[in-house]
Parts: sequence; C-alpha cells; structure tokens
Amino acid sequence: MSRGIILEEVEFAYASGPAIPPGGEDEGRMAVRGISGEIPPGQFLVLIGPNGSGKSTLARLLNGLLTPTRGSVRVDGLDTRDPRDLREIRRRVGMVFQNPDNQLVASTVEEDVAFGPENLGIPQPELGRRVRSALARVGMAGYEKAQTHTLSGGQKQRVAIAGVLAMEPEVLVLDEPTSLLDPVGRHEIVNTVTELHRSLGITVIWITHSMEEACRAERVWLLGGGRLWADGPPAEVLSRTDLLERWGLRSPAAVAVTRGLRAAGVSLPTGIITGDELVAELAARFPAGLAIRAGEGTAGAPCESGVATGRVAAGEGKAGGSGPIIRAEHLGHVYAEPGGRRVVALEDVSFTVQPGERIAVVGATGSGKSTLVQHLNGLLFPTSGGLVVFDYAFGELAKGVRRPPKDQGLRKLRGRVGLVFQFPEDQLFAETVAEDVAFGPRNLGLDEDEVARRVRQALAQVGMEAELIAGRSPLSLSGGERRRVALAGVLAMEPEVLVLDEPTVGLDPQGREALIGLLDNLASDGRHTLVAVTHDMDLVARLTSRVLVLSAGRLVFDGTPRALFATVDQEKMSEWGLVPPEPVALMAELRRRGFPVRSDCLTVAEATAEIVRALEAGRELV
Amino acid sequence: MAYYGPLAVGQYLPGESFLHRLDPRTKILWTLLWMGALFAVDRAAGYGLFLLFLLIALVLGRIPLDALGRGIRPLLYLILFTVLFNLFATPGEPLLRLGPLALTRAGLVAAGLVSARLLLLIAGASVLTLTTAPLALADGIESLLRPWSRLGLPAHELAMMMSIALRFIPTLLEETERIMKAQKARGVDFESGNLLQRARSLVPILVPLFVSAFRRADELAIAMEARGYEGGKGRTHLRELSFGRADLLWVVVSLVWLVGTAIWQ
Repeated sequence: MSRGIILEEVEFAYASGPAIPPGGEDEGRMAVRGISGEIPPGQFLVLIGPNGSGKSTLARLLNGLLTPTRGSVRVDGLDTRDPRDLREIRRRVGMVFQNPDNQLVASTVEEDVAFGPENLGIPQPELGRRVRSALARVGMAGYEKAQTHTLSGGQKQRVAIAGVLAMEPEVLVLDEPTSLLDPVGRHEIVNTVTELHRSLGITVIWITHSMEEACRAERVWLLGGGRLWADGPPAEVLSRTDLLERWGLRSPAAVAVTRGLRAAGVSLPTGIITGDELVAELAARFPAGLAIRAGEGTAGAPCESGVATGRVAAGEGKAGGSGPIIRAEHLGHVYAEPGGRRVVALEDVSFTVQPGERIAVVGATGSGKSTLVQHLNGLLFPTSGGLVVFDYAFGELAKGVRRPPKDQGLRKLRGRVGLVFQFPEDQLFAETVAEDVAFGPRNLGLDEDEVARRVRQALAQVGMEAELIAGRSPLSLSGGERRRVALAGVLAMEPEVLVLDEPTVGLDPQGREALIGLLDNLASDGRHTLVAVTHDMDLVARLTSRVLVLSAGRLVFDGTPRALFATVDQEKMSEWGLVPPEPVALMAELRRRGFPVRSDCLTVAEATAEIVRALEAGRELV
Repeated sequence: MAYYGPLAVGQYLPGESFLHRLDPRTKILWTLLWMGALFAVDRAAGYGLFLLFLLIALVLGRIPLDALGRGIRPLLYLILFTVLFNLFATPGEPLLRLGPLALTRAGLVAAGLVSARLLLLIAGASVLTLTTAPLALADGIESLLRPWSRLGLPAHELAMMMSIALRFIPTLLEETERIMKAQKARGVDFESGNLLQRARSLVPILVPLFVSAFRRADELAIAMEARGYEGGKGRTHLRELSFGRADLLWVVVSLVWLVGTAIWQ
C-alpha cells in the first residue's frame, strides 16, 4: 500500500441545485479541473491562489468531505469514494478551518479537544491522555477547563489544531488558519505548526494568502481557476512574479527587491525569497558595504517616493476647514462588567485631527483601538475626559450636559462620521444592493431623489456599476464585493470622516489591493478624513500619513509611519503588538549587519533605491 | 469586542465543591424533586425548611449570594407583578384602600407565600446551573433520556443541540452587539419611536444575525464531519458519568428532607 496522498486527474463540480444536467457538469460550478499530484508523507506543502482558485475545495477533497466528480483521491491507498474508509481517512487527514469560532464544538477546551477522539470511540483513560498531550503540543496545557469563547483568536486556532492532533492524524490540512488572526495570533499558529511538522514529522498542507507563510514550506502549489499552475520549492514558485501577478498575488517583498536590484545591475542569484536570504547574499557579495559603520553612511536623501505618506498636509484637505474637527482631551473609557469588574479600555488619550488627514490607529488586540473609534460617532461615550467631534461635545467637554444624547440626536453626527465596522459585509440585510446602500441616507431623512443619487454615487465610488449590481441580492455577491457594498452603504451618507475598523482583514490579495486603491482614491479627493484601525502595516505604510499607537489603552505614539518604523526599536514594536512591513524589516536587518542604509524605507521601491544608493556609495569609498 | 454583556445562560461558576463534583444526573433529579416538592408546600414553616436546605446547598456548592441574585434579577418583574396581583386581587378584609383597589390581610399573606415559592423555585434551578457545567448538564440530560431513545426519542441529538446552543450563545451575543452598533452607525434609531417603528428597526439586526447563524451552522457541520462525527453511535465520553456514594447520600438526604417537608406541613 502506497503511503501519502495521491491525486489522479481530480475534478470537482458543485451541484447547482438538486439536479446536475446528465452527461456534463455545470461549467460555472467547476471548482477543480484536473489536478494530479503526489504528496509524500512528512511534506510541508503550501497552497496559494486567489479566492475561487479551488484551494478550499481541494482541501475538502483530501479527507472525503467532498468526493471527486471525476478522478480519484487516495490517502495511504484508501479511496475517498469508498464510504467504508471515510472514518479512517478523516482520522488520518485532520482539518483546521479559517474561522476559529465556527469550528469549536464545545464550551470548554478539553471537551472540544476530546470531540474527535470521542467520535472515534477512544475509551478512557487513553482519551484523557490524548487530550492532555495534544494540548501540551500546541502550548495550551493548563487551559483544559477554560471556556472556549474567552480565548484569543490564536488560542482558539491552537485548540482547533489540538482537536485534530488528538485524533493522531498523519496529515494536517489547514485552510487559511491565520487569515482572521492578529499578528500575535498568526505568529502563534505558524510557530505551532512548524514545530509539529519538525517534531512529529506530520504532513502539513497549508492554504494561505501570506507569502511569508509560503516561504516556510518545502513545496508550493499555485492554484488558479481550479488548475495547478506551478509546483515546486518556494524559491522557484515564489520567484515567478509574472505567474503570481496573473493570479492577483504579490510576490514576497524580498523577491521584488531582488528583482529591482538585478534590474539596477546588482549581481544576485535567482531564488531569493526571504529577507534573510537577501541580506546574506548581499553581505557575502559586498563585504565592502560592511566596512562603513552604520550611521556614517546615512547622508543620502531621506527615503521618498510617490507613497501617500505626507501627501496631504494637515489642514489642507478641506476648503474653509480651519482648526481641528476632532479633539480628544484625556479621554478615558471604562467598561463595567457584570459582577462589578471594571475593565479600563482607554486611559488619558489626547489628540486632535485636522480635516483631510489620513490616520492609522494601531496596537495589539485589546489595546483599545475599536473602543477609541466608537467614540468618534457617539456609539460610546467617554467615562472620563472629553471629546469634541465637529460641533458635538462629549464627556467633560460637554459643559452643562449631564446625560449623553440618544440615537436620534446623534444621527447628524453619524452621517458626518461614517463608521465601517469589522466584517461590514455581515451587516447587509436588504433584498437588493440598492436598498441596502439606501438604508443610511433614508435614516438621515433625505428625499428619494437624493437617496437614489447617493446610491449611484456611492456604488461608483467603490468601483461598482450601479446598473449591473443595484438589483442583485447582496447574498449573491462574493466576499470582496459584499465588503465594497457595505462600504458604499456608509459612503452614501456622505461622511466627512470615514472610520474603518480592520478594512482588509479576511480579504484575498486581489480584494485587498482593490480596497486599498479605493480608499486611497477617496482620501485623495481631499473631502474625506480617513481613520483606519488596522493590524495591516503594509496598509499603514501605503495609505496613511499619521499613526496613533495604542498600548493597554494609552496613546504611546503619535507621528508619521516613517517615524514610527525608523525610530521605534524592535523590542518596543513587539511590546505594542506591531510587526513592521517587510521592507522595513529588511532594512533593519541590513543595518544590523553593518550596511549603511537608512531605516525609514517603507515600500519595496524605496528599499530597492536605498540599497542601490548604499552599494554605490560603498563602491566609491573602496 | 472582548467585553460581554450579562450572560444569563452561561452562569456556571467553575469550582470543585461537593455539589460541583456530584453527578449531573443527581443534580437534575434533585432540582426536579425540589420543584415538585415546592408545589406541595404552601405554609411559611414549610418554606422555612426549604430555605434552610437552600442555605445548606449554597454552603456545599460554595455559591455566593450575589451569584444567586444574578439569576433572580431577570425575573424580578415577573415576581413583582405576581406579588402586586396577589396583594390586591385576594378577597378579604381590606387593610388599605387605593381607589378601587383594596389591600387585604389575606392578600398580604398570599403575596408573601407566592413570592417565597417563586424565589425558592428560581434558587433551586440556579443551584443546578451554577454548579453544573453546561456540557455536564447536557451529558446528564442525555443519559437520563437514553432509556427513552429506544422509543424514538433522539436523546443524543437533543443533548448535542443543547451543548452547541450553549457554546454559541456568547458568540452570537457578541455578534448581535456588533451588528447593532454597525446599524446605529448607519443612522438607525433604536431608542425612540412607537412600537411598530421599534419593531421595524429590528429587521436590520435580525436578518444579518440569521444569515450569519446559518453560515456558522454550515461551517460547524463541516468541521464536525471532518472530525469524524457520525452521530451518537459508538462515541465515547471524556467525562464518564458515575453515580457514587456522595450522589447516593445527597439523593437520600434530599428525598427525606424535601418529601418529608411536603408531607409534614
């Protein structure tokens, strides 16, 4: 019996409705179109590809959740089409899914981890031993009795992994396990799985949109349109920039920088995919660069290019806008929990916002970011200190007002400060896109002509054709499209300040790029002030001109992204739960190795230009 | 997002007390016995014995009084209404007249007894839910219903439904809060307007909640299938229920005390 997973000409089509036309599949529903391959035991395979490329379908074919409509999938010789082998196949091939909340079955950690082995009929005391050992493997020993809903995203995913390990599988399939997590959670999961692969020799099949994660694999499959486009080690597949771009994927920053350097005449080998590899190559090839001590060679012009940073100066954005539109003074917020426990979410936060600014609010999960932005449109009120937004004053700045205003009195403010929540697509409720987008303007009491005009305008702003989409049901759209419709629903209120909570989380690279471009356009017209709460440092670098960093409810940094990444040391950054964008990390590593490069380069283009400059300066000196 | 409102259902207080360690079946039966006996009692002295037993249970379960209070609070209006109804609607010799309403001595007594009964009823149920983890409760119910599964009662399925519902209550509460805020940000007014307007303002909350609940259900079903779930057949349990000496002791004491009280008074 051959070990490992063998795919032979696997095709899969989703049934459209109850009946598939006899003699043929519905073309539009073909998710996997003829994939063959062999995954030997112990391999670390990463699947990349845009949404709709068939990655998730393929994952579900591997353990018989789906069975191929043509071709075959065999796990250690067992055919997934044979129902008698299904239970054994599912034991051998464990799956972890994207959403941690929707795969935990039980209310407590140990009960959840036990769920799989219970289904297999594993008796006590073996069952308890497996639960304890699986939790220890994912670093969650001691959490046996914890309530699953109180855990962080990363912890929930580790429990989900433990739940699979307790079934003692040979293959671990993870379907975008990190895409809904914050940077800390991502780190936890990547480390956990890498360690499991190393210590147990378990086969890992990892689906991701993250190129940094793909770099850790032994082998990468690039999927697009249900077909396998590339199959090889990461150094080979991730260097194929043209193919990646064709499928809407961005190559890792190190690949892009390497390409730029080679174009500029720097001789470097192909196959460099990580920052560490690039730094090692440069150090080996240009020992002269090391001759100059860091700090002496920083005479070059500051990193500058066409990025958004600093493009809109404070106060320029809005005609007639003089003075700040938002002013927080010693703002504090304390949540009172049942049982009398008080949770300090914000403490002594002071800042002002000028019209037209582009602001990022960053910090670890639980640092108070969402609490802060919910004050801006009166969803929450200060429990200490005060806040003025346009002509609305709250807390101690609202002199003579005892009681916070009600929803009705806040409508105008909520029209002027549009707040787009996390996963805004989840709030769509109307039968058609147009009706949903019209909801906000109607609540503002506008007449129907104006509502119709705003719906058209807002859909155009998010890059959608009103004629094509207005009459469709929001449920029939893709995830990225739904998010844009939800954004249109807020834009239709014509807000002057647009606040977004984690706008890019859960999107594929294509959807993410589209959204960043769209927000850039909105902010560039000078009529919108942008406030984005995010963990996405690439978005911070490309879209915003000012960063507010919150840590444990306090404002610990207020300045440009450039200043943040250039001046704050690594230790502080991790304490604040921040991971710098790849180019910044690359430059920091080069400096650490003695290359005289500036550390404030935010983008691939800036980093490339700066390395070229430093190398040339070094050559002159030699 | 990490902050929860009051979780009325998930009121389990983790602990290792005598009551916590009892078999969930024992506690379920105790609660049923408690409720049944309570309805047979209608004198102050009887309620006094129940109260005494309740206090013993609180000590044995290490249940703080405010935890008990939290369980009672949501039903305060019901109790208040019942008390008022009994105060004024019981015929008898009037002590005080308020317009057409008359407060009678009999009313006073009836109101006192009925509120004592209601409070003891809730307290008894709370002793169960405060000392029994929701999952253990589900296991207990499954086990007690199992003899009936031969008659077609889906005992395992009911228990699984219950434990999944318990698991998702906090998740859905959190989601409700998020959607409410999102719709408020789009100008919805939940605080004013007549009954019809308020009811209509619930549509933008309920529709997304249902859509998301269906999606969650779908994903959970797939995740359960992937973990080899094929129904209750052949499943083992991490927590095997065992009816021990302590359980027997508790059952005997309860039977004597509660049934005795009901017969004696």
